[in-house]
Amino acid sequence: MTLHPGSGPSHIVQGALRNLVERSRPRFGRELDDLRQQVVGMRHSRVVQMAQHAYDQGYDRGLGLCDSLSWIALERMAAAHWSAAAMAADGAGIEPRLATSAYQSGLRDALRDVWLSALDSGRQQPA
Amino acid sequence: MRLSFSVPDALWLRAREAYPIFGDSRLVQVAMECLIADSRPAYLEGPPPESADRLRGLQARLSREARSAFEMGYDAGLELAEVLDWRTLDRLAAAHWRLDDVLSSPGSGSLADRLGALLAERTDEASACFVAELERGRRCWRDADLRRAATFAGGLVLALRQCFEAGDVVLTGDEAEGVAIR
Repeated sequence: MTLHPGSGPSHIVQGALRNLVERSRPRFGRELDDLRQQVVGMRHSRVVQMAQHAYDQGYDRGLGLCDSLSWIALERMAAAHWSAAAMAADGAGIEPRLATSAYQSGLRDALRDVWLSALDSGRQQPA
Repeated sequence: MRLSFSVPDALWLRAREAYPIFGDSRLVQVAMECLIADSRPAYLEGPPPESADRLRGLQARLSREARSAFEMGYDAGLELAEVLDWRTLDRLAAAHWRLDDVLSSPGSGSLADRLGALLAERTDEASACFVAELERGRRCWRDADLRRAATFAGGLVLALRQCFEAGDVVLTGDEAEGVAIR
């Protein structure tokens, strides 16, 4: 997974420090009783299932796109670290209604995995 | 790895107050570790099991295309080795065959010109993509990125390198005579 692709060091460090400060805030929460823990577990499971579905949908869409993409187009996207702009420029844009982070990750991972697998097979061939 | 970055004073003070026991570098490292841990998704990443056959099919087609792009670059390199002057070849060797380093350096116009002229007639996508980067570089080298045509460029450089290394370079008795490659 790529965190904050294309961001400079200052941007990433500032984001990390904000996240750290946020973690340290007091929450004044009570210990969860068994019932609440169970409910939280069920809700979490539902959210994970939805995210997994969106990721798999994105991955499937990515493989579908690869059917019509050339090696040269994939190489251009790789050079741009699979940025959304580079992918859109080569026809691998994401419909706004599907643009959740899990869907985007799935689509990007499919394109990257296909690119890497072709690259690996080239490394295994004799020079 | 050493990095330099800037952080607003207020943010730095808040982080320091929250975690006073760490030194500056350690504080940033902990922040980065937490960021990565918090960003890890709860779902499984990677291809769904039913995608294995599709992936294999795509790998086979794209490997063929990549090999073809590499070979086109290699052939272009062989043609270039026929016309390139010794000084440019030597510069490439001195730059450890990093084409982008040589092309971005002052006085690289003749190499870019030779490449452009050589590839002008070609209509395939790999050559066109490489030429497009050369053209961007002519306007402003910072806009060019040879990684966008990495496979073609890799073949081209390998051909030049093999031609260069195939012959031992010897200076003749009279250096004014120039350089011979046997």
